[in-house]
Amino acid sequence: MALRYSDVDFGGPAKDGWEIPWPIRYKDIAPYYDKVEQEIGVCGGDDDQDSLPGSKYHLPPAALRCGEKFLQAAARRQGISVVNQRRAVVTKPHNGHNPCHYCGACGRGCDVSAFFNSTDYLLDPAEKTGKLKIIDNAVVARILLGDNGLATGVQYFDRYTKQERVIRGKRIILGASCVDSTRILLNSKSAKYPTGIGNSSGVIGSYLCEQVRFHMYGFVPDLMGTKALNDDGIGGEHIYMPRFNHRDGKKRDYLRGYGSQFWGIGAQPGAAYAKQLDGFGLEFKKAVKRRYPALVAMHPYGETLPRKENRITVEGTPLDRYGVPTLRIEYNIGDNEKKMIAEMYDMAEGVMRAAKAEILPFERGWLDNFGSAIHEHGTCRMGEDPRRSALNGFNQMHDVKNLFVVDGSAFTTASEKNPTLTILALAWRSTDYLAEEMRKGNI
Amino acid sequence: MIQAQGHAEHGLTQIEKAAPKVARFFNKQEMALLAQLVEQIIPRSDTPGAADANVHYFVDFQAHTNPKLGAQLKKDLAWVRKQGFAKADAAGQVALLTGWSQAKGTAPYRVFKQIKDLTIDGYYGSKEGLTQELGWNANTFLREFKGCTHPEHGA
Repeated sequence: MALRYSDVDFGGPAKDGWEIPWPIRYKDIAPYYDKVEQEIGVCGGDDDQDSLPGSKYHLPPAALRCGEKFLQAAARRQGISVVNQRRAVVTKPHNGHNPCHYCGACGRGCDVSAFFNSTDYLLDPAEKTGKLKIIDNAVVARILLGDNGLATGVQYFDRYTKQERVIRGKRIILGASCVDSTRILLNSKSAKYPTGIGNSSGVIGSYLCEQVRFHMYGFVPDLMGTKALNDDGIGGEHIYMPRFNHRDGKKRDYLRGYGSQFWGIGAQPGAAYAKQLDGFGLEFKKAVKRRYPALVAMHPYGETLPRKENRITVEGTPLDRYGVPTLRIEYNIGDNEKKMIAEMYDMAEGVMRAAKAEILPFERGWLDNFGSAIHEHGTCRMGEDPRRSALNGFNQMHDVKNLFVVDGSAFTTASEKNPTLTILALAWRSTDYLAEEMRKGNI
Repeated sequence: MIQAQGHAEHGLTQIEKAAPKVARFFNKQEMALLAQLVEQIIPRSDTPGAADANVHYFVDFQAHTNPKLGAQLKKDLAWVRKQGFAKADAAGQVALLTGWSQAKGTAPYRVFKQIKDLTIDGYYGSKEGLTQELGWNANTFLREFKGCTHPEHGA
């Protein structure tokens, strides 16, 4: 999923005062969303929202499946916009990448690279410049600090020989994904930074924020008993519900918001829902088949507030096979999320009922495992104030000027959206800034 | 709750896990009983039933790869046998299953539900269940994805 953040996201903390504000706004990143979308290819509609900015570079959106049409119409009747999905799948030839052939096996790696992945889309072209050297099976343990207060290199271990090696560099860019980047930073201890490189603020490791989510399934009566279609499409859902709770002027007793994803609508390679239908025998078999083409699903995602006590630490943890401390995660949600979740359940049930769907039994308030969205953020956050953030708005460390952190850990807040497109755009912006700083001789 | 499908994962996981037609965990007697059970849960109609689709071998493979599940199922099958299931006629088997399936919250229901859930995984993940019974015809190559072509849908 390739969703642009909006000023509803970037401006959220400045507006409600929870934790530090983002150091950037939409206008700062918009040109980089453009660049990323042109590079990787993102399909989507022109049905933009204030919470989901559009793009003139979208490739054609994927046609909606039957069940998606019903949910979109049902949401509309509830006053909620459900738009075309924006997804990094090329729906027509783009930058030398073949278009999607709708086989539905995206999750296993696309044979023709019609689905964005860093190997085909980023590393390949980078290697062609002749300026990239990839050292694989190198497990980075620490970033080394020089006497001049700058990062001087990286200590890593060969995955197979377990041999320790060091590679030197004048500028170091860390992008090991939120959790592992944080571990590397915290393990990079020195006399100057006893709690990890660049951590004079003490914020690195804290403010881990993911997202809360659950799943609701139902069956649309109009589709029951119809012939199953090939519903593979571009793999995931072809619709998305952008955040809307900021619009109706209603005063809410929680901060931030939620949206919804819709994967798993229509004919799936299995029928797990059958476990929630009673009975057995021929009647049961008929009941399962009747519902098969009619399956609809909602997966609301809500923002989790950054909190100091939600954190990653490496103190007193077991060592890994290279002798480097592993990490520990402490994480929980609070009242804010619980209140939002109650509204998310009402919303999802409302949309399902508006679609006249037979809803599969659910337990109100049930949440999928923390971390299951795999959208970790916040543990090396960017901000204006070096006492409360680790990075500036260009992903550059306040403390260590030649060290950049370019993954989800740099995010000030989580939002309810999938972060990859924003990670890419921020990384590109950060790299432009670095190039400019190098030209000026600053780094 | 339906098992959360991860990040829009999509694929033929259950088919891939389809068991070889050699019992690895249960003995002959247990396999015969299991075949009767899965066939009563999803019987043959104008499409194959669970035993036709070798779902009992699928269950055997699950037991083989998960010792805790295997030990539990061994006990459960012994209990099912004690109820006279193997020797009962079709009507008798249905009567027994009906009783267990309606006794929610009891031990017999747990036995029934576990075998039923495994039958569902195995059958609707098998070629017979997925393509012949449900009519799934995806995971193929298309020039164009037309999506819903019914103007009345979602109107």
